[in-house]
Amino acid sequence: MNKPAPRLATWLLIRFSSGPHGEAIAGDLMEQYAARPSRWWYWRQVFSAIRADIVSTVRDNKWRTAAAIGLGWVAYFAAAFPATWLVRRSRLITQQWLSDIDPQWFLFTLHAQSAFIIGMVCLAIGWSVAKATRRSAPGAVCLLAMTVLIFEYGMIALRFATMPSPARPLTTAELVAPALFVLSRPAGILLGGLIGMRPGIQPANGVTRLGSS
Amino acid sequence: MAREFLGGFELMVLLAVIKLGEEAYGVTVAQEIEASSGRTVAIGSLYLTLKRLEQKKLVTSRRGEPTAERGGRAKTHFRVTAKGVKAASHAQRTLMTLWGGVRQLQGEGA
Repeated sequence: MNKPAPRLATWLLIRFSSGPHGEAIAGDLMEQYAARPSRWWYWRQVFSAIRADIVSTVRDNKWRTAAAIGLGWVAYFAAAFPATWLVRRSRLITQQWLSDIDPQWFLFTLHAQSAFIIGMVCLAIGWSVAKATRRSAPGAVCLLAMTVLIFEYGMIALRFATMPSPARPLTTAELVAPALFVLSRPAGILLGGLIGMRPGIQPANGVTRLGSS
Repeated sequence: MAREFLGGFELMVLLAVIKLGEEAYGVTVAQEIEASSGRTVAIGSLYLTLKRLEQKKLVTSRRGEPTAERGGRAKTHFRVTAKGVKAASHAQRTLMTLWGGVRQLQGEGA
């Protein structure tokens, strides 16, 4: 019996496919996987197919994609104010509850909590962009997530470059945690986009059993 | 109207589709190119090229029947158009003319 193709990879391919040949690509990869059952090869092919599909869709829908990214950025800035308020309120509550734990863990908890709240807000933005753009959703969501990541890392770099020298050297947690938790923003957008996207390929004979023929 | 030039990979795909005839679909086209060039073909890039050839009206596609070995997914068969044959023939003539003028390659192709 053949080993089934990696389900997560197949699910991602189905979610991200928006071109006219999405179904044929999924079938071709499955056929090739049966003859060459390498998970590594399958994952590489799936990523390559998703990238090619995104490039092609963005090229065919330049203006719609640009408008969707613009809309995403407007929503990102508009949501920044209520999200910041929510983060501050939740921090106050956490400070009351966890005032006696180790400072390093306390800092970690605060960052994780903020990352979760902001990540959820970004998830809603990603979902909205995917719903608004439909066919060009994969490209729009991926490009929005990428530009948010670049912007946020740029802001962190700028903050480190312009802040006055601290009285004591910063700990690893203080340095790494913000950079790590910033990832929750593009991750939230991507996850929201994945949930909101309409799969380009219709399920055939049960998507969950793909590759187990 | 100005004639469109075919890229290297586009030409390979077009020639594979012509050679395979009725049997041309993603997997067979990829295998044909891999066998003749020794180059690994990514299915995603292959379909991107096939879509471009379709937009240029050099090939047409039709949906086949779903099969169990493909997880119930249908094949997309490709067929070259008259314009596609003409474009391949033009590319061959152009390349032969250019090859003929390169002294360093004289006698190497035989």
